[in-house]
Order: sequence, then C-alpha cells, then structure tokens
Amino acid sequence: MDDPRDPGPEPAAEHRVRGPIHSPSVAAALHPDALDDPVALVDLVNRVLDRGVVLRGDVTISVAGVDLVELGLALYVASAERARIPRRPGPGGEPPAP
Amino acid sequence: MTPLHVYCVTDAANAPGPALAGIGAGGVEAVVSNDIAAWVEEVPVRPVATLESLRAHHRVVQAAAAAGPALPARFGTSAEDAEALRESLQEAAAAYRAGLERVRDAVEYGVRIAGGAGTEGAPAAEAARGGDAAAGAGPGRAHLERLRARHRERERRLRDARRLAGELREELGSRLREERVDVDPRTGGTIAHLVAVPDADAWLAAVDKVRRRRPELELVVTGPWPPYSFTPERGGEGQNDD
Repeated sequence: MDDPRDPGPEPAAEHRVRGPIHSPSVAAALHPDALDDPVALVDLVNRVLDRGVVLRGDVTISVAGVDLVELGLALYVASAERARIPRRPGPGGEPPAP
Repeated sequence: MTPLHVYCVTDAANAPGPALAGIGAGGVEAVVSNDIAAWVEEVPVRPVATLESLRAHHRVVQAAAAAGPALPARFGTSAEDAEALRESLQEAAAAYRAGLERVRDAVEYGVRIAGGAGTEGAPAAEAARGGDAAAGAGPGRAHLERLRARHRERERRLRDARRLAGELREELGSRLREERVDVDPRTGGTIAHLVAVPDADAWLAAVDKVRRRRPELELVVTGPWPPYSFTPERGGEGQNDD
C-alpha cells in the first residue's frame, strides 16, 4: 500500500496552505490534503456531502448533523477571512439568516 | 447486526491497508462482489456529519483512489449488512464497472468562482436546501422577494460559471476528459474537471493562463481530488442540486 496521495495521519494545523491563495500567479492547485485550509475545506464538504455515488437497493443514505457542519464551516470560513487581507467587505454587513 | 458505512466502490483487487483509519474504530474493510468491491466500516450508529467525520471519510476515499479507480460514495450511505451491500453492488454492477472505467487513471480538479463562501454561503445553502423548509418559517412578501433574489443570484452565477467553463474548455482541448458545471449552494459557481493523471500539469498551466486573462475573477483551484463529481447517478434519483 504505498500510496503517494495517502495523507497519513491527520494533517496538523501547520499543514495549511499559506500566503495569498488567490494570487493570479499561483501555478498550482490547493491540494485537498490541505484540509485545514478553510478554502479547501469548503470544497471538501461540497464533495463529500453532495456528490458521490448513491448505491441502490437496501442501502440507505441519511445524514445527521449537516446543519452543524454548515455552522462550523461558516464560522471557520468567516474567521479565516477576517484573518486575511480583506478583499471585500468583511462579514457583518448582512447577518446570516437564522 | 452492525450497519456498514460505505466509503467508495472500487475494483475488487483494490483492498484497504490494515492501518487505514476510518471514521470510527471499526477498521476499513472491503465487501467484494465479483470484480467490484465497496470499502466499508462497521459503525455502531450512523455517523453524524461533522468536519472531522467528513475529513475521515475523505481520507479513506483518497487512499482508495490513490491505489486504483474509486467511485466515492456520498457521505451517509450505509448498508444494513454485507449481504445487503453485496446485493446492491450486484444489482448495478454494470454501472459501477462502467463508472470505474470512466475514472481510471484520472483525477478531478475543481475551479470555483469565489466570492460566495462564508458570509453569503449560509443563506444560499438554506435557499438551495429547499424553499419549503424556509417557507414554513414565514411566507411573506419579503420572504418571496428574498427567494427571488437568490434565484436570480444563482442564475447569474451559473452563467458566469458556464462562460468560464467555455474558456477553460477551449484552452484545454482534448486534455479535458469530462466537465461538470454547477452552482453549489455553499460556494457559488463550481466547475469540476476529470483529467487524466499525465495531463495534470498541462491542466494547471491552462487554468493559470485563463486565470491571468480574467484577473477580475477570484478563482479557487483545488485538486487532485478523487472523482467525487464523476460518479454514476442512481437511476433518476441522484441528480444533484438541481
């Protein structure tokens, strides 16, 4: 099983992609291993929750906790965006609908 | 009987390593049906979606995809037991086989038009999750206006994403195996590309070129991903987001 993309143990916080990740000169993609980067994390949540094959037959799909994920993600992204150089007005203009 | 959390569908030859950690302590195993298999884990209760459990799910899918073609299962897919799962695999074996061929030696990359995550993401998600839930909360004019505004916003994002997708297609030519354009409730316009592994560098270069040409767009490029966006749909029921 030697597997180049296996991230091994849980990536630590320092595994974050640093720097201006939207820089137009970056000739690389954010690697999904950078799961602690809130930007990649949004893409991860989209994929894992909303895509992927749904099996047939006696196989069911049920997900609890999605609201918590949404909430956690929103907080996570919001705090990360505050920490970054503002590219647009920060959160607070319009509060998230309850 | 302990339910099985399903991670992905793979070739039968692709088996999880013994040290691979899943979302629980059950250990990741393969349930084989002829030439295809599903990577699963026994879970005492259905797992709750948390950032941690989603990451753990993804790690397992990634391990499978690194070793061979893999069709990620949507988080929350579970089977009553191995027998039920085998039947399920058998029933749609042809679709899974075709699906595995489709993604063999390929990876997914994503291009997302940023500007919708976070602050606008949560209300947008709520809108996409169905006006019905929200409509119960307060059917008033303001509410309808909000829904309409969201709809217009969604349409606008879809147009933007399609236009960008066209530019990328032109730049990529035959290096693009498949494409999928969506407006994701959490993030806005997203483009997923299926790219053969040897073409990954050329793909990045082409995307970079388009990115320089369109500096007004804040693009988030991610990958390589397992082919989450390129899996067979369950007949008639598996359409996403629309």
